[in-house]
Amino acid sequence: MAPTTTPHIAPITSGVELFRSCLVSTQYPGVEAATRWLFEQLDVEYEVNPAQTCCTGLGYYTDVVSFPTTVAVAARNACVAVEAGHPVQAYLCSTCYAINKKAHEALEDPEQRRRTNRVLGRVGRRYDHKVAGAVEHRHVLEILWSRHPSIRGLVRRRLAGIKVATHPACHYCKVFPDEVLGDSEDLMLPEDLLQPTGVTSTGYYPEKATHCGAGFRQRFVNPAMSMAVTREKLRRLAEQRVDVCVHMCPNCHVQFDRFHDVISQTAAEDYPFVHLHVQQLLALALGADPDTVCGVEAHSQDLEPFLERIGARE
Amino acid sequence: MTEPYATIAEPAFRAVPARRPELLERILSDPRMRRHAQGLLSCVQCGICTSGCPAARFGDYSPREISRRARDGDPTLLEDDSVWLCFYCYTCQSRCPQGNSVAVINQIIRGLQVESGYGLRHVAMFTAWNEQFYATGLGGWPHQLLGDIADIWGERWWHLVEHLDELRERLGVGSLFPSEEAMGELRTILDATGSRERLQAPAS
Repeated sequence: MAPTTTPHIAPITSGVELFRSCLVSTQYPGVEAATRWLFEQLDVEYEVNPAQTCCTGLGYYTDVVSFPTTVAVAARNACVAVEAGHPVQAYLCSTCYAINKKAHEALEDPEQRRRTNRVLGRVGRRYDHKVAGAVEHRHVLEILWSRHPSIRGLVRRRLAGIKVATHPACHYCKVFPDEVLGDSEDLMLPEDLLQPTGVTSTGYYPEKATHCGAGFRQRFVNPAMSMAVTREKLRRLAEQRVDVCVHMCPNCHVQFDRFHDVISQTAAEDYPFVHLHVQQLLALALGADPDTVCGVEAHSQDLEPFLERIGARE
Repeated sequence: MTEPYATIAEPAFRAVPARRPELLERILSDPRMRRHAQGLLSCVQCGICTSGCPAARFGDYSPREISRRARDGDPTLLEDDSVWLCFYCYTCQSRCPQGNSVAVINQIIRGLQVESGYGLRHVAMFTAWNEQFYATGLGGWPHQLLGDIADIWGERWWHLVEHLDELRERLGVGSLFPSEEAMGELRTILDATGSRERLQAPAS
């Protein structure tokens, strides 16, 4: 078994706010359910806070929401997380992760903080040094990784013989590349998390860091360019003869899962593998139900042959 | 025989590009450029940003050119359509040896284009997102945005749309929406930051 390369971090076992993601909620709610299930298996105390609103990410990156609005919304969300005693904001979506961190960075500037607090004052809130010092921004995979020594003993379905590739999410790897757990050009965090399940990892492969092709507006406005990028990645994954490509961002997941068969037919190319979120595959390996925990019916691809192969359809 | 050193070429850079120091200043002082301002000023036009850029590979776009023009304070950027081809993947930023970020520069330029009214046509189809967010506190893709895509995604996807609430209930993931109290606070913030007015065409 190959040694893992992802840096170890101290266990995060409490104070976690599972930050709801608009794309997970509306496209793949099973990703949230699988994450909750894993948190319970790994004894991570968490809450979902109804006071939390969407991060504005899709609006900001389609250029209809300004940066000052985004910063104010992020500051408010940080305030409610700290107030609720769950200051570790755990992101299901890499864009939520990046945008909240970017806002946090902007709020280090006294002038930005002053302007933002003028807005927050209208709702009776204040982003002060206590909030700034308490709030922590984590991708959900980082929380799971902090508990990874417990995973081996919980595996119920071994994934021996299953070859896994990571599609590293750009907004996790490239916005704050120095703060990534591991190498931003060759992220191993998803594969290392799955290692105790017996999977075979591709590790690095050509164009591993190439992005999904969604590009926010580009999927809608420039579909030919968007599809060209996605096809390139699908071809590279097919060359690796993977069984499953794992994702850590719902926008990437939409792009690959929903367009996989469309591109395969248009390009007359075979890409014989499926797409799952890291949390879904890990939960399946730990014995979770594909329907009531992983919500596989929301996927566009037919996952049944894969689920049968790993023994999740007895 | 002519002495080869007796002829001097015409200067190639006689016409200095139009510069607008205030545009460069605007970009450098933006809070998003906090980690990248020195990077823009020290851009050496090496092109590593362009070599990894998906829009440069599959579209008519060059982050290296954007960086050069931003460094020059070139006012034509404020009516340049190529900035709208950036995917915001940040590959340029993460690989730049100088710490520059063309992805962020594009965000600033697009914002300035929207605010001047020039860029409104580029965002027209996404204003539905803003309205949905204001009304519900939820992002996601509004269905009116999906158009042809919904047809391509087909029956399986429509099944999800029609049965989303049942699926969410089976999965035990609770309400799609934030609390009413949170919604009230959100709308106050959106109003206070002029979120919706920003997308109205400026009075000429």
